Amino acid sequence: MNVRQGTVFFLLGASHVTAPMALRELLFIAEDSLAAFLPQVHRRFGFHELVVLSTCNRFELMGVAPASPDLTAHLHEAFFELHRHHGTVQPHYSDEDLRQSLYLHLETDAVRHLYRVASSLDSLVLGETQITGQFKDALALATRLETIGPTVRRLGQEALGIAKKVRSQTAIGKKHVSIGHAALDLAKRVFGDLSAHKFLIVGAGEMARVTAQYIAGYKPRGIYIANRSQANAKKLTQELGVGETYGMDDLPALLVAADVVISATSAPGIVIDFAMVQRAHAARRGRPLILLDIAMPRDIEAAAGQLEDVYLFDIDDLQQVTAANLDERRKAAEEAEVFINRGVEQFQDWQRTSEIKPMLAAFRTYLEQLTQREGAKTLGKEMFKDLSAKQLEAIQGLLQAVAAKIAADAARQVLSPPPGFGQDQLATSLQALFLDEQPQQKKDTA
Amino acid sequence: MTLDSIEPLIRNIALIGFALASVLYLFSVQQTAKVLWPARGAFLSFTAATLAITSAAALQLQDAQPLELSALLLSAAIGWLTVIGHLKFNMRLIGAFVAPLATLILMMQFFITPGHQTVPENSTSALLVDFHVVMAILGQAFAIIACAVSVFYLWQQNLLKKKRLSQLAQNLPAIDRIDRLLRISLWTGFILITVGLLSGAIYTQLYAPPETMRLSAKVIWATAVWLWYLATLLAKNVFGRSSKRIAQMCLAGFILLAFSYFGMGFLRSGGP
Repeated sequence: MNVRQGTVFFLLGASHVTAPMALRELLFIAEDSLAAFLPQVHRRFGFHELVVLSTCNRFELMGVAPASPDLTAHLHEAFFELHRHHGTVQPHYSDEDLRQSLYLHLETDAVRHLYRVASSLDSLVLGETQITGQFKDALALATRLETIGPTVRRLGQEALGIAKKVRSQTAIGKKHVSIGHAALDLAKRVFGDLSAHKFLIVGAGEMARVTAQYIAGYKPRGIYIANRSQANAKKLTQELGVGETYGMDDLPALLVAADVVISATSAPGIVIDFAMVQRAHAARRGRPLILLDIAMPRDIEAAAGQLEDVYLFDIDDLQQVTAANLDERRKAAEEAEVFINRGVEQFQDWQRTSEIKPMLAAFRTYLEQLTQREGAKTLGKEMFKDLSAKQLEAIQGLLQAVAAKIAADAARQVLSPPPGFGQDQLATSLQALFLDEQPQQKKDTA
Repeated sequence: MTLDSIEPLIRNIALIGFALASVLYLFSVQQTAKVLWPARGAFLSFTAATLAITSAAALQLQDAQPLELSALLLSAAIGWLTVIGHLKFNMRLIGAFVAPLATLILMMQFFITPGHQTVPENSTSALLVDFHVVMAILGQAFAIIACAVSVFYLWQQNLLKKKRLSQLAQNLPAIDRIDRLLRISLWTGFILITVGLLSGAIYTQLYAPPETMRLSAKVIWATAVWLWYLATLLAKNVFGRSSKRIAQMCLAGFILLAFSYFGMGFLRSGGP
């Protein structure tokens, strides 16, 4: 029995666990592009529901698909198709290469994975808060594009609820673990006192905004925000209450003035190249420069890190910064698994209930029809012909009330089985006793 | 027991203290941040040894000239600079470099008998010699500290460059701070060595007997050391060389200095 008769809840993706950064940055699809391709793939592959979570560390498709023997191949093809539309992965990786980095979870496993992702238990920086927001954005996009349905919507709500519990009821949220904080921890390893230095933030998106807020907390000597759109940069400085805004053309001069550069744009290519850093390095005359590239794909050319007194770190390096707190967070994550397990159990209950409910409705209908039929047959006999219409109606009402009472009692017992009985066991018995076609029913039907 | 008789005892206590601190520092470098006793023990032992050697030098100063106490004074100077570096700049591992060096300097005294020092009779010239010796010793002490700081700078910088972030020493300050300490040590050491050389030159011109007016190997090496530190400072401040290059130059400078001190100054004339 399955409420989603003939369908499967799936989760297919690649993450920092299975894919190198070079591939992950190609897999990332910005929201605008996703909005263009997602409905097409949803329709073409016949998905009942489809949601895409695209972050710098993971790219996952989740949804409900028709069950079929070649489901895996079908889902892989949908994944490849989405990236063919985007056009960044295939020139560098064959489908076969890509397949090596993919994982596929179905039904309960997929639910468990989804809950772990939303609760940041599967994040590169364990316990970071951004993933929950990114997950909400993914659900919102699917809602806007109408590719989400009741199953994923419900699972999404459950996942967000569990994420909230994990954050508030375990120590996982007690330490600074976001990528922005990890970046600043790294900066502190080079410049002990961040307040004595100048910061340059390249980009004015969500990541840049969050990081800028952390930086503002240190009250540094200067915050420069360089962005393609100066209006967005101005908006960010207004929000922070400090900072100066610049265009991307000012980057060469800003690299000389600033001591810590945090780049978090969504630009598809390199924003700060080696030559630009080399010129700044020469002008800085030995003053150290930290480049923190928290963008995906990377904004800063990797070769820049080879220059003396230039310290370049990317997202993968941030994992090391948080390593010291990892044990503590792992313990918290173990506690958090309890919430995940409970959530998965609730999902299973919900799924079972959802499967049983149509059967209970069928049982109720069966009883109603039975009482109606048997009542009509009996009350049509000669001995009852003197009864008034009101009396006949009262007897019919009585029979129907008895049927409704039996149906309600049966439903209560099946949904909350007495000790020694299982939900499935009672449901199967009810099905076999009354709903599977009986010889008598066949005769009646005939 | 007279003060004179307890001076060798205090000096030996200092030697044992520096040696013990060397072992404990070595042990603490290999330990995780959670095992605190070796680092604490090392610093305690080092500070006690520094106090002891300072007391020994102070006791000796009543009868001897600074020129004859160069080893004790140098040990005391690098000891106090290390204590200040530990407490003020959070350079908790600097003792790991300085403690063995102080042990070595003090041990040399057991094996080498310093030559007789000619102390000028004239009070002004004697004062000038004392000033020269004190400046030279302090200059050397700062150069030693600069070398120690360079070692830690290169170590930390290498880990950062190679992105071995988990291996970064927790008991060292941020690399920018180490760099600043390196610059302070370099500048202070250079100024003191310069003053030491100048005062030595003035003494030679004004008071030295004519038969000693020759360019000795000690003077040549001392000038070479001074030139090297001048080149290091120019490389940083005029030519804008990287801090890594400066740290490497400091290490090379220390080798020159060590040869100048142990090879020439100590072995030939018993002092700097």
